[in-house]
Amino acid sequence: MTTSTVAATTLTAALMDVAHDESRGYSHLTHEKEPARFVSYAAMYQRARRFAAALQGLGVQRGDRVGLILPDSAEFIDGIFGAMLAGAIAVPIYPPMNLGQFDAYIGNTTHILQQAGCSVVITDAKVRPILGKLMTSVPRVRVIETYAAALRGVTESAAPVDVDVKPDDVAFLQFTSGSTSRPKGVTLTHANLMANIAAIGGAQGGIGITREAYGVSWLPLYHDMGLIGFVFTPVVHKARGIQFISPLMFLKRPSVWLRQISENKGTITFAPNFAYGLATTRVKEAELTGVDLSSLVVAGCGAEPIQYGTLRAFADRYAPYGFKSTAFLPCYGMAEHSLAITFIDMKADISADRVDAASLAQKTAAPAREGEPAVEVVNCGRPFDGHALRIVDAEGQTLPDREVGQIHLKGPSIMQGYWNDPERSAEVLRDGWLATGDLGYTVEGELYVCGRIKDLIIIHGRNYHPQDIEWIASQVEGVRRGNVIAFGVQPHGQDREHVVVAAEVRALPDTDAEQEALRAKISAEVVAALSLRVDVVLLLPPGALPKTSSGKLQRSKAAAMFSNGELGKGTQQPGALGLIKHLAASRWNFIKASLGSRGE
Amino acid sequence: MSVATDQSYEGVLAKIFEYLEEHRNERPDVAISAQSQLVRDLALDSLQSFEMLADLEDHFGVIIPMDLFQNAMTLEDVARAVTQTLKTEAA
Repeated sequence: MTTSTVAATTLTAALMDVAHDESRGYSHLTHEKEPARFVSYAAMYQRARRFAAALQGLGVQRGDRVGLILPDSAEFIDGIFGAMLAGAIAVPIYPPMNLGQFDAYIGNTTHILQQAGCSVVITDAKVRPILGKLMTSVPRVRVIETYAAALRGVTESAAPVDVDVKPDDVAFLQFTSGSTSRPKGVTLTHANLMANIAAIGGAQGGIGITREAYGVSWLPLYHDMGLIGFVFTPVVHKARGIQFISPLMFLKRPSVWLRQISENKGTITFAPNFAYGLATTRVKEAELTGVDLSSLVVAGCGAEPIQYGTLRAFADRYAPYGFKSTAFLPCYGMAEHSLAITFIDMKADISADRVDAASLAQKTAAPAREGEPAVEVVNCGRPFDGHALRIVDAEGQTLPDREVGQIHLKGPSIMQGYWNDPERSAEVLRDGWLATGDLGYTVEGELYVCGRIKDLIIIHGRNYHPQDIEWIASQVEGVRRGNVIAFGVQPHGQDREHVVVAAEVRALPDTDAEQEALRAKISAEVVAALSLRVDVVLLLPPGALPKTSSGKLQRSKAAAMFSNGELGKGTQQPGALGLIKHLAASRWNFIKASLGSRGE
Repeated sequence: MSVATDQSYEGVLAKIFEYLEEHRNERPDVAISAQSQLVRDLALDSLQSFEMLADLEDHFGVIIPMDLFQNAMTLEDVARAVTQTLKTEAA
């Protein structure tokens, strides 16, 4: 087993290093009934070159931004590598997911194209018709072309005019997902990506990716974990191959993920916490006939808060199928740091710190005594060589072990900034340090991530901004416009954050049935607009929500009040034990409230 | 996948109703009809919809192509996607 050392300094150079490899490559499973189509690295390189030539044919110049609105497919991979070979900057944008959310989708896409300054957009025949208006709403866009039509202009063996891609050139823009308001374009150079990818696959502190490594992923390719982790990283480390699975196939039948790991003798997979939960609860024994997970060396878990119980349950369920819990690799990462920040030691088992719930509210992670209410915080490991991590308080002072504060990062994986947005870049980048907006603490150099200072609600790996939920709830008849607060609470031991919408109403409806109808209406509007399930809707009298003296809504305070049972009088008061459990569950809101929230 | 499985449009719809009566906990007060919209009326999120689809696949012993399902807005649409798949399979 030879661990690769990375010599290339750009992704394009790494791509050329595998350009003659006919035996390794990726397969893409998009339909149950169609066999996965194998694309060798050599074929991938040829396809990307042809696409690069097509882009140049459309007038794309070095440094131009090219929007890619393509479903997960070989075409998407051609698109991103092709743009790089042409010296352009790819801007992946997710394709519309369902028919109910077109307005929000178009609004979001328009914002991204405008912010990135895209001149060319490549899409597919299904999406093309709904993009019609973009040309007029974003004047900068001069070409919207389908992938097939773009290729028609060049021969199969077409080659682009060579561009000398430099490590400091921008490789692509990763727009932060989820928000319908203002996604930010994380700007990553080849040097950023190569530093992170080399660290991810390195033998020291990384996962030691060998030439025999085989990745299995259902992650969307427009998501950093899917794109950098499973499209770029295997190429750079010359891995045996990758099996991609359509995300929708996974969501419908999570067993496909396990079956593909088994069939391909997959060694590496990554997924957010919720996916391990789904695979534990939604897979029937009958779907697991013949499944053998013993080949798996790395089962990474990141992108949303990690629940120790979820991973343990998965390990217990799949131990009879050869799964070893030491394969679990909890990690911490974010787009602004290319992808990964910390990994636990590859050979170590998952572990959680049992922390005293009451001390956490005071921003200290004191170990819990036996029998006391405890919170389990998963160990996310150490930062990579050449990278630094510190925990700071609200004044920017570095904190000692077991003190909870904001996580700051430094090193070669850090983004250049948010594209065309110096103001928001300056908010997070100071003196070479990246302020993550996440809370955590360290114990002997290992990181424990607690939650987010920002009020982002992350469900199933997707980010929801409370502002969006509040705006939608505000539109419902009877709700006091601008007097709605949305927040997430993490019920102890559950996979998923609970979403709470607290809305002031002009007059509380008389009957229980009418109140229930109004709550249901608010829920339904949020689900319809965002595909987000609301767990609790509270109807409150005017003036019940906490506001600052200047009238601004205070989200973290509302969350803390909710956890105390102070918000929403007349709701059931839990007994003493129930209250303690509840406090432990929604622990982070206290810390959020006491540290204050950015942008509030 | 029993022999008694009713594969007619009405049979499929009845199975969908049965599934929702048993599994949904979002909007128990709302009456279910063929015209009920998955999202707007029944407040099913995408994961819950997919779970229902997997259950229907198991019951009828077919694989329902994603593109048929992706455009489904009402229970009627879902039932049609399933019936269409059953017909294609039988042919």
